[in-house]
Amino acid sequence: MYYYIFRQIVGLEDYSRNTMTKHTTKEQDDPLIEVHKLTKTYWNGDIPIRAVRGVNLTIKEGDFIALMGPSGSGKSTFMNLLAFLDAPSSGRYIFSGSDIKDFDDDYLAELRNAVIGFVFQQFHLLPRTSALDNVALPMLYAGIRKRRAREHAYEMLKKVGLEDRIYHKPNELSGGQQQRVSIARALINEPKVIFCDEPTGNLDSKTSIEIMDILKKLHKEGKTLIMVTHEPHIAKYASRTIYMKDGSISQS
Amino acid sequence: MMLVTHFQTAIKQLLANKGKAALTMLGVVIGIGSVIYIMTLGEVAKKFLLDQISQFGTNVIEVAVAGEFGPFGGSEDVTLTVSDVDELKSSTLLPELTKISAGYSVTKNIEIDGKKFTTSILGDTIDVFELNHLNLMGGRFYTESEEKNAERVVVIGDVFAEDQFGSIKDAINEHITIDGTKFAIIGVVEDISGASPFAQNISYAPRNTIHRLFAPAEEMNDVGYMLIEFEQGTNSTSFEQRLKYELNRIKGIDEDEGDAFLIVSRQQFLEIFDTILLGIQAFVSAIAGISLVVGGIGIMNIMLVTVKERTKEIGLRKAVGAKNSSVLIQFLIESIALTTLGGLIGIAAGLGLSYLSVFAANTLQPGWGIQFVFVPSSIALACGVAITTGIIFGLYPAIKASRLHPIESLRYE
Repeated sequence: MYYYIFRQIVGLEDYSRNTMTKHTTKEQDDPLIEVHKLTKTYWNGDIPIRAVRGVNLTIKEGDFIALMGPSGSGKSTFMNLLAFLDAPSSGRYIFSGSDIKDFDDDYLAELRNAVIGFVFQQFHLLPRTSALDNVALPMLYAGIRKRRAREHAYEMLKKVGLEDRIYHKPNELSGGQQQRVSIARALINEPKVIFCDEPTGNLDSKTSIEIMDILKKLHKEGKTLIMVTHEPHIAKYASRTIYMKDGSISQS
Repeated sequence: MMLVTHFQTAIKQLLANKGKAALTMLGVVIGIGSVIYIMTLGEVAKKFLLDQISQFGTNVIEVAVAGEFGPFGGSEDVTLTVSDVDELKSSTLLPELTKISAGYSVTKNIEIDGKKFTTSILGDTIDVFELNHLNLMGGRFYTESEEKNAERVVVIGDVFAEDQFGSIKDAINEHITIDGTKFAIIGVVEDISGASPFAQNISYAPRNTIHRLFAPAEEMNDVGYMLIEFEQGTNSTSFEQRLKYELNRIKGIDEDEGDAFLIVSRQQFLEIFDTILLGIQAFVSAIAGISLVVGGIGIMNIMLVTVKERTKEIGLRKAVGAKNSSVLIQFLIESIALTTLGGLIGIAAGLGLSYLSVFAANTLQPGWGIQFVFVPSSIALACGVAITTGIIFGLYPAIKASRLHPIESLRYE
């Protein structure tokens, strides 16, 4: 229920489920994400750890970004900020034309639910829960009834080629299948951006290719994807690669 | 909206950790079980007593000399006599008074065909039969003239009759020797010792006979106690006060010196029992409370472990849009599910145990006919307590879960 209320608060009411795709194709070049001097500083006791140091970046709708960099470069922290998993210490974040200023927990949760999809390296599927219910979960948090959420979840699983595995529990699925379930879950609320954190990190090379082919297909359909990876051959699937070093973008 | 889903998750979680859940619930099971047990047995006992009392009528007051019953400040010198009884009967202050049974009881050796026993014999007026609702099984009660003329007749209990003479019919017109004096058995009554734990196996004879034959000279006119019946619908408290006033007046006792008589109405007896029962119930409830607190802490402990074990799940739920409140409610429902299940098992155990107790009591005392009473309010109370325990002890772990940071939780190993 709060899904709709949220859209009014944020000023995203234009992006109802039906009009979103049209919108995406029509204004392909509009910036979806704009950040200005975005910083994130952690405090380890009295010692500040400046994980992100004033990053400026613009990501257009329909982009497929690969975010690369050595460990400790701040790429994960930066992705968390972009994905509304964490609040920045300073700077501006304009998402789809709205200046995001309010970073309280509930507001961020609503944003993540409505406009973000996640694909994690470790899949993060609920144990002892069917693929169908795993995929339906974000839709339940959007306040949609279980039956309708399951119908949507079935469509999503069909899209990733798992329509014959909908009642399988995660432990009955292969790694590749589990990752496909999590892609289906990322897609169910028709997000504006899909964040992929090392999506092939736990998969063998053959399965990695399968997963990357699905992501490539999503990109072709007009989805915006932001992928953190440290493997150059995976980064090649992206339309644009951004390198980070010491909390700043070194090359893009 | 997600309550059903949360509940399903809770059940799934319970089933996945059956052993752990069962152990955790034990405290709640014991707590709730004992509440149900004591409440049910209390009601069973109350119903039993009420049935007993109403069987004998609630319009009856018992009077005894207080001194006989212990150190209640009564004077040992006061005794009730036959003339006191007559004075009460003719009192204008007590117009509602209908009958008085005033007995003089002795314990004597008796002899039947050379066999010797000891039994108690109650010498009383003919009113004793009606006031005690005694059922005549054979023969007849003694008459007023037999009472007046101190005839040597006796009415015995049916168990006694069957044991000694084979049957009730065979006992009638037989003779027993009480302390060397021959008595004719004229009637057999249903033995109330079987039906009531308060009455002993006793025989009944005219009071004049017992007084003349067995009472020492100084007790010639004494009566041990009085059973006074008054008209139905009389205000019991008012009647009791007037009775007390009259007794004090007759015996010349100053009211300020304390109570010389123990006056107990059946109504009062019930109230006394209620008070005792309430005390017992409060005591057991306190123990049950401790058990619930211990059980609750167990629940809290297991929920804290669960939150820790499922940190990643919490992180994932938050990442896909669960608000803090949603996570809070989810874990609260899980702890409520635990305590509610524990409560339901406790209710079943409590009911089963009290049913078994009633069954055992009836097996041991078949005559009492104790009835099982189902107490719906105790079930409602138990459910309420179980849910409340779940909320109280689940709140802290649930708050802890709700405040976890999504990224840190996702990365938690």
